[in-house]
Amino acid sequence: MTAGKMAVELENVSAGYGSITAVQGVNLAIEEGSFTGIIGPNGGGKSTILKLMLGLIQPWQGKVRIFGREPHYFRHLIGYVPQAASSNRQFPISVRQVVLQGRLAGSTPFFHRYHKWDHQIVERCLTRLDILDLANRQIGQLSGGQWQRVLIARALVVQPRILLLDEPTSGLDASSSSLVYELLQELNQELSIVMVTHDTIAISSCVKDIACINYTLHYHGEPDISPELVMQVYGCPVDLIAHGVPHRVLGQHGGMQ
Amino acid sequence: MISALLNYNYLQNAFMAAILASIACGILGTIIVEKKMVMMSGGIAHTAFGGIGLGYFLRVEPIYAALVFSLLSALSIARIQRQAQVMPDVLMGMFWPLGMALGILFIYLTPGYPPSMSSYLFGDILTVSRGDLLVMALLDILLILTIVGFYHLLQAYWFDEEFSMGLGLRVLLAEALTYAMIAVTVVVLIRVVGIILILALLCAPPAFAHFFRSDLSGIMGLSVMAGALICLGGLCLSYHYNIPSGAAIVILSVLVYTSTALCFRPGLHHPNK
Repeated sequence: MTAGKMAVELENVSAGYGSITAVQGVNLAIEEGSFTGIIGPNGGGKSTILKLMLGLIQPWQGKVRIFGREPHYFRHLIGYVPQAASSNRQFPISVRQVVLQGRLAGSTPFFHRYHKWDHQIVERCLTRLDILDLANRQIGQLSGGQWQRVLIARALVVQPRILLLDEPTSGLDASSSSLVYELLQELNQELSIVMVTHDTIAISSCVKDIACINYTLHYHGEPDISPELVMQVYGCPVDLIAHGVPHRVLGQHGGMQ
Repeated sequence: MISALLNYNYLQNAFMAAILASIACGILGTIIVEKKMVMMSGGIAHTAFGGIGLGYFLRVEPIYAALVFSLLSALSIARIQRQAQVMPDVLMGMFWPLGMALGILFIYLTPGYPPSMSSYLFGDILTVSRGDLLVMALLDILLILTIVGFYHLLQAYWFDEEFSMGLGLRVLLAEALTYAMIAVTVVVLIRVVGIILILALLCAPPAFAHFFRSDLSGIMGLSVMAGALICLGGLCLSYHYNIPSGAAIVILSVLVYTSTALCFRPGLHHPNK
C-alpha cells in the first residue's frame, strides 16, 4: 500500500469474552486523518473493536497496533468517548471535574494536584465546544446533547491524535446530532476519528469511509453500500438511504449515484 | 447528661466513639451510596463476623481479627468479581451468610462457654474502651489519608472505570483501596452500631446530605456532620431511656432521612446555589 501512515491496524484479530467469540479474523487498517464509521448489527462486535484499540481487552489472536505499536504504549494519543448512556449521571460531580479527569495519566502520584496548564487546556476545550458556561454545573442537570459535548471535551483534553467514539448520537434529536457531527468534522481536520454508529445520516454525510463488522469485517472502504452487502452484514435489508440530507447520498439500488 | 459526660469515663468514650464513627461512615458512606455499592458493603460487613469468631477462637482481640478478616474477604470479593464477572448481588448472596456461618463455626469450636455476641452484632457504644477508641482513631486517619492522597485517581475510578482504564490509570489499585476502605469502615463502626445495623448508618447520612449538596466532597463533609449528630442523638436517647444504643442510632438515622425526604421539595432546591 502506498497510503499514508497507519493510525490503527488490526491484523487477523480475534477476541471475545469468556467462551464467547465476539470478533474473528478481523483485518482493518485505518489511515491517519481518516474519519471511519464502524457499522454493524447489535452484538456484531463493534464495541469490541473499540475496546481492542483502547487496549481495554487483549486479542486472543492477532495483533492490534496504534501508530505501529501496542495500544498501551500510545494510550496518551487516544481519546475515548464512551456511550453517553453508560455513565452514572447521578454521580455528584461537576462538568469541570469530569473534563479534568482527561488530564490524569498513567500513575497519578500520591497527593496529585492538577497543574495550571491542565486547567488552561480544559478551559480552552470547554470554550471550543461552547460549554464553558456549564463548567460548574452538576452533570445530572445537563441535556443529552450537552452531556455528549462534555464526554467529547474529556476525550479532547487528553490531546489525542485518534478519537474513538461509541455511538456519539444515540438518544440525541436531529439538531443535537448534527451539531455533534459538525464538531466531529471540524475536529477531523486535526485528528483521526473512529466512530461506532447506527446513524445512517452520519454515514452518508460525514464519514470518509466505513467498516462493516458482524463477527468479522465484511467491508471497508468508501461509504456507498450495496444492498447485497447490507443483506450480508445485517441479515436483512436495512434502510441505509439517508433521507433529507443535502450532502452525499448512498448508492441507490442498481448502483446509480 | 452534660455533667454525666464530664464525670463518667464511659460516656466520654461513647462521645468520642460517636465522632470517630461518623467520620468513617460519612466519608465511605458517600462513596458506597454514589457508586451503588450498598449491598456489597452489607456483605463485607457480615464477613467481619467471621473475623470476630476467629478472634475468640484464637484468643486474640476480636476487633483486630475482624479487621484482618474483613480486609482479606473484601479484597478477595473484589478479585473474584473482576475475574469471574459474576453479578455482585449473587456474590453477596454467598459471602454475606458465609461470614456469619464462619463466625458461628469458630465460636462453636471455641472451648468453654460461648461469649455473648450481641455487642458485636448490634453494637454498644456505652462499652467502648480506650483501646477501641485508639483503633478507631488510627483507622480514621488512615481513611482520610487514603482519600486525600488518592482523591483524583479514586474519583476517576468511582465515576467512570472504563475511561480510567483507557487512560492507563491504576484502576486495580483504586478498586483495592475502595474495597479495603469499606472493610476498615465496617470495623470502625462495629462497636457503635454492630454488624447487623451498619448499613443504615452507611446509607442514611449520605442520602440525607445528597438533598443539600451536589459535589462529592460537599456530600462527604455534610454526611460526617449529619452522622455525628445522629450518633450523638442516639447516644442521648440510649442514655436517657436506657434503650440499646445501636438500635437508637439506627432508628434515629432512618427517621432523619425519611422526614427530610418527605419535607424536602425538589422544586425549591437549586443545587447550584
